[in-house]
Amino acid sequence: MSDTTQAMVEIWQAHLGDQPVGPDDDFYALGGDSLIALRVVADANARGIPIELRDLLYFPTVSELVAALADRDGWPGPDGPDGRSGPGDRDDGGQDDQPFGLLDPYDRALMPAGVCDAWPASALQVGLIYLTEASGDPRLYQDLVGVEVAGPFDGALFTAALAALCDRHPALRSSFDLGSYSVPAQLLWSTVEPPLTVEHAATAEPATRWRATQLSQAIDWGHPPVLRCHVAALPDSFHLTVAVHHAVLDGWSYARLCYELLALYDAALTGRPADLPLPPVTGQRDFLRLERAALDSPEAADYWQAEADVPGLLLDRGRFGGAADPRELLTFEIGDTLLAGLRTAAAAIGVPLKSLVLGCHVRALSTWTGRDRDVVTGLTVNGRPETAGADLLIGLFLNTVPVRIPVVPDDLAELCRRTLAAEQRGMRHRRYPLARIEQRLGRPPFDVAFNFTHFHVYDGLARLSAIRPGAWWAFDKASFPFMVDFMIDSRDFGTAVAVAYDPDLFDKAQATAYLERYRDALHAVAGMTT
Amino acid sequence: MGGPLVVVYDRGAASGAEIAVGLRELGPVVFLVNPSAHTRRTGEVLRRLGDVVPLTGDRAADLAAVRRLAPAAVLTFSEPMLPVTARLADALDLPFHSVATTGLLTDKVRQRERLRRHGVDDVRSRPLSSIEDWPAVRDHVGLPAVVKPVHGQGSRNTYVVTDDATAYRVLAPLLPAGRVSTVLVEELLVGRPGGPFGDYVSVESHHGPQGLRHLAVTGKFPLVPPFRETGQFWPAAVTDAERQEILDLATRALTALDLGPGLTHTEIKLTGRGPRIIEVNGRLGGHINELARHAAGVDVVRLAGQLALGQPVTVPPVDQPGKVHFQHNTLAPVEPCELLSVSGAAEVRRIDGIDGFRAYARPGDRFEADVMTRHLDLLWGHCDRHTDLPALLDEAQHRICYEFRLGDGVRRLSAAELHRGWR
Repeated sequence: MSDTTQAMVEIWQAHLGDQPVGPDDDFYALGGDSLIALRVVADANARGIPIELRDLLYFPTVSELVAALADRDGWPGPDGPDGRSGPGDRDDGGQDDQPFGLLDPYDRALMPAGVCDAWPASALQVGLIYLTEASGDPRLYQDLVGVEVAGPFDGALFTAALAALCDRHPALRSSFDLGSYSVPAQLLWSTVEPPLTVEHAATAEPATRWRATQLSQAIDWGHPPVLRCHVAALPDSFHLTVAVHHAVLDGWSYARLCYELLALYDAALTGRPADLPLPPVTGQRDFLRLERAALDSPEAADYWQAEADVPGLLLDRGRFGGAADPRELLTFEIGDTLLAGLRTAAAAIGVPLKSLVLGCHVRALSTWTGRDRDVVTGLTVNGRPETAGADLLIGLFLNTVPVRIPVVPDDLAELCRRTLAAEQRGMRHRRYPLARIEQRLGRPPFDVAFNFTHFHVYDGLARLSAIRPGAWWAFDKASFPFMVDFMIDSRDFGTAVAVAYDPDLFDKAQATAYLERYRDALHAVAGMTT
Repeated sequence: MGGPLVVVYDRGAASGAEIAVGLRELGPVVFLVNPSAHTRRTGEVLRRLGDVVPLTGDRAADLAAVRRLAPAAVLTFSEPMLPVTARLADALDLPFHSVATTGLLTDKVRQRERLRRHGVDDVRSRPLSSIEDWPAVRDHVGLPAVVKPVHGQGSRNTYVVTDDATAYRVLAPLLPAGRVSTVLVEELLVGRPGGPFGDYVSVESHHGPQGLRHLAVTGKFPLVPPFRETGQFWPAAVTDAERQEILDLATRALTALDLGPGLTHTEIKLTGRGPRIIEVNGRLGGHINELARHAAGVDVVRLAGQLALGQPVTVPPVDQPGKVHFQHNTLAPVEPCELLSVSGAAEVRRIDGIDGFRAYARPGDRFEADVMTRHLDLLWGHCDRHTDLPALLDEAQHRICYEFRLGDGVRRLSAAELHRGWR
């Protein structure tokens, strides 16, 4: 009996009155019903087995359920990539996991010297690069993070730390080629020159200047590495800035990158090992296989079509279609009291904090637009492979998908529950690329996008001993016309809500009106008055 | 891409889970949910299986909400939801029974009248709205008679009346002075001897682009007085000639009702004069989908979905001879009690021929005094011949034990004892 089978049998036993349960016993025949099924699903999820209620209904024996799981998403089992039913065990897995294994042999023959591996670029990577090129805006999808670090700057040690970081993560040694091969490809280079510029100065002025210059010119995604680093070294501190194209990595990866770079440098200064676990080697290949499976799923295509195919919320679809220019920003701070209230409310309602604040966002959208039916918002979702150590991967594993709330109820708690249910329904199709949803729909599937982030990997920075990171600065620019970010402990804003909008499409009064409604909804759900 | 299938939902012949499973390949499901104790309890489940839109009772608002969903189909498995469903389907021009036909399917007075006018059946019946009119109605219908609600399903509030005294006792609470209400009084159809089996059957049918088809004649276990149902099986224990008579009667009744696309469940009494119509229901029969899935691997909910989409369907009869598939329920005591424990479930599942056992009642559940159908569980299985069925059931019923706290203390009762009426 596999580990997953054993785990599911134990969970059934616990909920079906401790009777003997075999892998081929029918859930209903053993006395199960849908309310018991809810508890089984919750238990399975807690053990890392990603089933939904409908899975248990469609596959009412443990054997069928486990087989269905194995067929889906290349899910490797609760023990991670070494589990017995993982993608590495597929008949074609051995071949695919070889360097260049996901590419045509003819493409492989054309690879330049110095490229040690390559794979097809993901749909989102191609989409971001395409938008960057089409917009002519050098800032679009260029992500910069800066930090002021107290402590000594040693150029040789820092360069070594940066080189070690690039060694650890193939994505940081990559470039893209969209035209030379049978598919757009991401090329991984054996080595790259550590992309570091150092300026010694008495003030932080060089950092400010470098950031401005960097933002005035597009990142050349065709030449490795697509990462750039700048250090303005002062006598007792230094200002570090990193610039990367978003096609290379997502926000979580960026946090990981910053943490690892500083941890490696701190380790070099102290002479202690950095003690960073190695990311799984098959990460990006697993993701590409999962994205491919989603692309091949007519069920996923139909699901998102149905989710988005309602009248647009805000924008005239005839007028607006392409990349927006969300250059204006409004923010408000959440504060500890409100955050505590939100956490308490989430626990009382029985939804995760993310669903709670997403539900409030839906309420704000509803009152803002005067719509209580078919409110659709974009939601940024994490598509990392569900393998052990997937959180250590640096790469682009995001997607943004439409979430539709058919009826926005008056009761905010009920709305949050419905929002959670809507999120969960879309979970299994979350890797179906946004570009495809948009292509089939003939327009962007949502006008407003929402992202919830809590990059707790930064918490590890508190353990550094030779250096101490201080104030942070960040720049990023997406192409959504109206983007709402709910951030917990972000480096630059703390716990806050930020709204980035395109002033050609929304005026400031409109954006402010949304923000006020969102703030009201958050206070209301937390039982606080504004 | 078609729109969703909108299921008007409340307690009914198919659970949310059965609906999600049955319709999953036909399109996304939206549950249009009637507010009730049942849907409050199952809301969490429904929300995970499809979108949930509440039914407000405001016809215009509900229609507008459903119209916005641009549904490809609208359907229901719940008897009380038939009128709403018919009105929505009519307004949206989607396949379903017409509003007029739904009136005939849900109003038993009008149904009897229609069947009589079409020469299908001549069961004597009269509506009764005032106790003063009882003598006239009695003289027309004759005694013994049955008093039942005009709308409604199952055996709830159905009474046998053998004399005037009983009639006045039964009618007084049903027809309170000063309130407009109506009951239906009909002649009591007396069944022919059925041996170990019930003297009535049901016919499961579907009507679609290819016309009317019968899926099965469902045999029944005997009613426990007054009208408590205890289970059903396929194929029915009837002769080929009787089966043909039953199907002919069902065909004539259903034809007389001008059905739209959908499922029907027709109850028929087997009397000394041949089969007689008890009533026609415009929906799936209770537990029939589970029976069809176990016996023939046919999902009748899916079939209902296809019909609601206007699709042609081909399904062979599912009550094939050669193997008997059955479902049996244990009835709760008629007196007030609290369930303390259920035991024997694992043992009963080990019996050869028993395929499953599911307790509906949970320890701690309290039951008020009630002489109507109230099931504690569902037991299902199969055997080779009808003659094997009584022994198999008897063995199973002796394994399942319920412990109740009754007015006079705690008692352990086997399902067999509960079935016999243990007092």
